[in-house]
Amino acid sequence: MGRIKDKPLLLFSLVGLLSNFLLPLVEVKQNRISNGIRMSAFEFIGLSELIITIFWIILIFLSFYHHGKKSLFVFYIGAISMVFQILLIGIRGNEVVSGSLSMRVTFAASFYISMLMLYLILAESFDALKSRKPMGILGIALIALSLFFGFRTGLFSSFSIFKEFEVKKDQFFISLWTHSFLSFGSVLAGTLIAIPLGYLSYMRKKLENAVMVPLSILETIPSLSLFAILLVPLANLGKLSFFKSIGVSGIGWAPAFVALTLYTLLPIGRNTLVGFSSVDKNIIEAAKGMGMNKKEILFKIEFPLAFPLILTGIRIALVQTIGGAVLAGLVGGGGLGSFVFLGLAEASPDLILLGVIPIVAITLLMDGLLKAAYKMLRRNVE
Amino acid sequence: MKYRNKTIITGIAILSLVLSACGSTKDKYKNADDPIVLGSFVDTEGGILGNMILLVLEDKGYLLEDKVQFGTPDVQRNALLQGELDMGVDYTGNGQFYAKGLSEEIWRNSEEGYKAIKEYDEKENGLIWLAPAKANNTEALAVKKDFAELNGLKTMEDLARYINEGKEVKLITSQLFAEKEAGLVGMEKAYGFKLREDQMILLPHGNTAETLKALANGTDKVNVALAYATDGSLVDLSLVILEDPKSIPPVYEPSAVVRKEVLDKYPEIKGIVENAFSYLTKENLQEMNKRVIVDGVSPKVVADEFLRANKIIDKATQY
Repeated sequence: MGRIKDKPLLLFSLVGLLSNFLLPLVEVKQNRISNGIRMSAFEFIGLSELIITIFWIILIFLSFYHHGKKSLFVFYIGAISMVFQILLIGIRGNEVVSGSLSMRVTFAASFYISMLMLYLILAESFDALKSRKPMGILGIALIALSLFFGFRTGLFSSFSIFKEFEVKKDQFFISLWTHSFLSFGSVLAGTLIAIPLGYLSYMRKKLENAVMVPLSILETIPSLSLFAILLVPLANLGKLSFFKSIGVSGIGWAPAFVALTLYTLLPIGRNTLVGFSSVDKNIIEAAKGMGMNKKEILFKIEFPLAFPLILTGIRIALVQTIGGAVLAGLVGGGGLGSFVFLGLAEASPDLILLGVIPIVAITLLMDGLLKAAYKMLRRNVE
Repeated sequence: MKYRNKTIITGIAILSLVLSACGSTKDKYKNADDPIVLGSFVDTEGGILGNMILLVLEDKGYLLEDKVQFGTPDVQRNALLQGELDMGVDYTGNGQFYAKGLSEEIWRNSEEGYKAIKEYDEKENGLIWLAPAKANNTEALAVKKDFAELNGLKTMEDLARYINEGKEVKLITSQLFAEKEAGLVGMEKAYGFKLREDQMILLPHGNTAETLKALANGTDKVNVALAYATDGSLVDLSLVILEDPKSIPPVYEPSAVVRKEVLDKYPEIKGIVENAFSYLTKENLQEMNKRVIVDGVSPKVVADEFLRANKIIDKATQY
């Protein structure tokens, strides 16, 4: 056992290799709804799939070696495998479907498992890159570019999720925009409200409970119930001409926006409170001693020191909200949730994925970006 | 100072040019400042019917706010009642849920059901139901074609016989349908059979895309499923509907529902939409549903093709 230097890599690569052989890679469907024929990787693609098999074997081989120089190699092999596998399916898919509008290729178990394993391998080797991180980022960019290139040149046109996308392209981009507006907009609105609230609770101990307890209670109200509660007040508000002109009403974007904003108040507010409370009192004393007035202390000392924690609260709120905004689809508010509910109505898993995958991608992206920003801030602050 | 004045004047000049360019759209639409907000059910048929109305009204010069496939039936109903939608598409048979207190028998007759909901909604809610299409999208039970051939099943009477012989049966349906006199309960009484609880899977909704998928895949041993007469996936999934000569469930004919204020402002809408709907039959609606749900064509394209094929519109459509 001591000879295996990288147990996770061995595990992931073994699982990937086994699923390649034992589980179906794709399902070829005649049309949108009937069950299709499940095929394993070799049944569908043929001998070209051996390239991928060789990559898995190389990865297994590499797990017997120590970290360090090999991480970059592992990362690139993983990245190339990912791209090659998708391209191979795409090329073969185009052959099989050959122009038929209704025939399509759906991914099956082995695809999802190998993609997950490759993602884990990439994540693990990326973390181990240390000084070679830029090369890793280059690798991610190359993956994204090659997939985008494949997408544009029609290599993925046989994929069922792509076919759904083609039919509903305009609606997809409108939904994406609405979803971003709902998520980022409500987090922004929540930040503007919650930071002052959090600061207020910090300044006056008596107000802490008065502020935090209602926010905690809000957080526990199930989203759909909150939409229902907001229906009547917002419908009434929407009768006033100013609000009517911006589209406020009991249904649509308004209840979703308000509810989502309310949910961000607790994480941001609480983290603001904790952030300010965590500022070392000695530093404040020293600043007072240097002759700074209250305003200067707040903006030059307290806020910058508290900000990393506040940013964490914003990050939590954002991750929560990007997912939560799906529910806007239930009240006619648009966003990627409309695809999820449309998919449920038409029993089409691909439509559901069309809604869910962008949400997951954006969430991972924003989470990563804000975590990196947090690390940078902490370094500056210290 | 002088420079600032020049900038202001230039700004105003540009702004008025831009505004006048926007203003010219007023001539294009009959209701430029007051778009008609149109919604429909989120399912396949809602997409087709909603887009039909959208295209035919736009063709006649009306400006609409497109909320086709807005949401589930209750969400659309709520929106119409609240005034969030000006127009929607509903089914005469759904009147049984809106107009409480009327006998269930009424809804099983096409004319009586329409008359009942029309009068009720106009009086109570200021909603006008336009003349429905003669395409009865009623509830029925479906089975696999092979299963039907194997067991000699053509009608509900045959199914009753099959069940009474103690053979294996598993029905998937909505809870609502299972509990109604104008549903499973009525069928059991009329045809003389009774299903036990363990012979049924009850769903909280009536989404036939799911029930038919379960039937086609034999999930959980399902061999009978709730279906709607115009479901597009029946042929391709090799499913057949069991005939119901006693017509137990209500008549569900699609009908456009408009808010009274909107119809008073633009009375010609009535004629335009009713004309388009008059071309619909159970068969062509089912065919259109099939194109969307099986072939994956966009409902707007399918609606457009239908309108053109029947010469209801002829101008070029931008989609």
